[in-house]
Amino acid sequence: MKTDKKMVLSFLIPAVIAYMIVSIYPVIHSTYLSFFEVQSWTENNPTFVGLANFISLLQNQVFLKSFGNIGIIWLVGGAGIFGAAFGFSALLTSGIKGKSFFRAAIYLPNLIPVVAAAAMWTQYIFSSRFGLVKSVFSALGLESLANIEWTSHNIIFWAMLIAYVWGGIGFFLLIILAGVERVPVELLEAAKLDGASMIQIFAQITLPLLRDVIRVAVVMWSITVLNLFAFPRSFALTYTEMNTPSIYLYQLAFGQAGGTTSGAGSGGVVYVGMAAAAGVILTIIVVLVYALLSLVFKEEKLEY
Amino acid sequence: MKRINKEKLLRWLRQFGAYIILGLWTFFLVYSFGWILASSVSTTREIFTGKLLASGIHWDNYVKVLTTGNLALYFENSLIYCVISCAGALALSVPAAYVLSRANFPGRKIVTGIFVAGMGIPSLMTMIPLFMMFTRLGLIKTFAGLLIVYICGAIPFTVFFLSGFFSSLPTELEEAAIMDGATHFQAFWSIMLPLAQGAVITVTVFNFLNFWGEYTWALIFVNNDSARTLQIGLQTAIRSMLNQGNYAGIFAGIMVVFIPTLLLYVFLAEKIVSNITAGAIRT
Repeated sequence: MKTDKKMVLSFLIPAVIAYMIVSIYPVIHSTYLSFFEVQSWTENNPTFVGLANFISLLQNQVFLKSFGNIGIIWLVGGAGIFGAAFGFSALLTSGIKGKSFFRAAIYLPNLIPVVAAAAMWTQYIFSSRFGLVKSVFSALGLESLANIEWTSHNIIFWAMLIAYVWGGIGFFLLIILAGVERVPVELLEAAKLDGASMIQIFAQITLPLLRDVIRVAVVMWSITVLNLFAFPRSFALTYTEMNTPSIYLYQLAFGQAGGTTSGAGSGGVVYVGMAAAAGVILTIIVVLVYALLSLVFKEEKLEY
Repeated sequence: MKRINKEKLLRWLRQFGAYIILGLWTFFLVYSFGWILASSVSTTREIFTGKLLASGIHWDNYVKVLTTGNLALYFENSLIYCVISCAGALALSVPAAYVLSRANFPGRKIVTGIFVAGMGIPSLMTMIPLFMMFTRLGLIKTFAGLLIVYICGAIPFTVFFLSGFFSSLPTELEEAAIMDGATHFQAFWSIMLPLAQGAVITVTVFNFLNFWGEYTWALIFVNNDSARTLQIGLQTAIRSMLNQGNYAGIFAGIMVVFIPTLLLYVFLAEKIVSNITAGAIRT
């Protein structure tokens, strides 16, 4: 199509400018701020401190532990989410009736707003007084399991992880199912006729053909986990057991007391420069993880 | 014959297992929401003694959480944020998506690439400079501040989604219109835009759901009594209801936040699900 220059410019420029304001400019300014000590949100003359913010963050146990936490979430939660997504996609493609209903039911938790989902789990399902988990274990006569305090400091992290996996399965199921349904049926039937077992078919035919879909899903899961903030924070507002890098960054930038009522910028000590440095570290890790995953899943187009 | 029977039996067993597992998942969902719904119209005493609904239906839990808990105001705020943001995101993204996918000009690939990369930037990284800038401009704790962030922030996804759709349309339509003497703008406005109606509605549903459930920016930018969103409002209300031991109110609050999403989903589940699926194949 021949192009109308004026139209291209007038159609594109508003979106590009708007996007620069909320994305490109903040990344540059954040990087700049990470080399300064900024002790208040209105400070005009921040002190240049070189790499001091980065050095103290990398020696800070709380910050490092927050990366340990998302590492566990990535690995254990990822195993749960991908295991369940593959399992459900096998069940949904086994020729059952009501497939689209069940698919919609598995996706539904994904859409529950975080605060409502977190409250549902902490106030009802894991409640130590009238919770669903407690009543199921009591009904089965498993008193020791029924008496577990799911929301106590030592296990709330695992309770959160269970709830988070439950909420995330649906999205990854949809992605994997889309790939599974594109695998040609003839290929699977031919393998079956040749006497291949279910496991062989899955490992040697389905899985290699799903490479691209799995790559997309793993990249999305990794970036989501690296940026995780809302769900663990809503699950337990002030527990340090739940810290993710983003939650720690938030505490640095807006003060430890930044609960729901006091909110942002309500006074107290803030470490804006250090928070910016934490953001830079996080962004570098996102880029590295992305590069690493692209390397692992090297493009290698399979034609079928 | 025997072999076929054995295969049939295996198949039947596998499907039976599938129904049990999928049924359990669905039962868990229905039971939990049923319980929360029943609790939201019971008294807190009934919740603790396991006798839900024993004294009839108490709608006043909802009245209380909407008025004294202020959720009615926050509900209205969230609707305003969602509607204006959806419209704003479209106004900026539809034209951009159109030229990015249909016009040839130098730098097109770069601009597209920048938009795609934007979806991966950690939002807390961009938040610090924006909070600083908005503080200086007096936009913190105002509707305008959060609206700017929502509209601009939705551009990458909206452009990405719509340009995928626009590039799937045949070019003959515009070419014919332009041969007939229409300007490029007329071809866009009266031919391509009507064709894109379905995609525009779908992306708006996705944006609406995202804005409705958005947590992080709402927490940092408008956590004040007049401009708060429903999400943060619910969190604040739950905190104070926990202090009062008002569990019935907590469950009513959860329902207030969840019901709009559920209604939208009941009507649009197929559309939402199939579009995520299509997106996965395209990328």
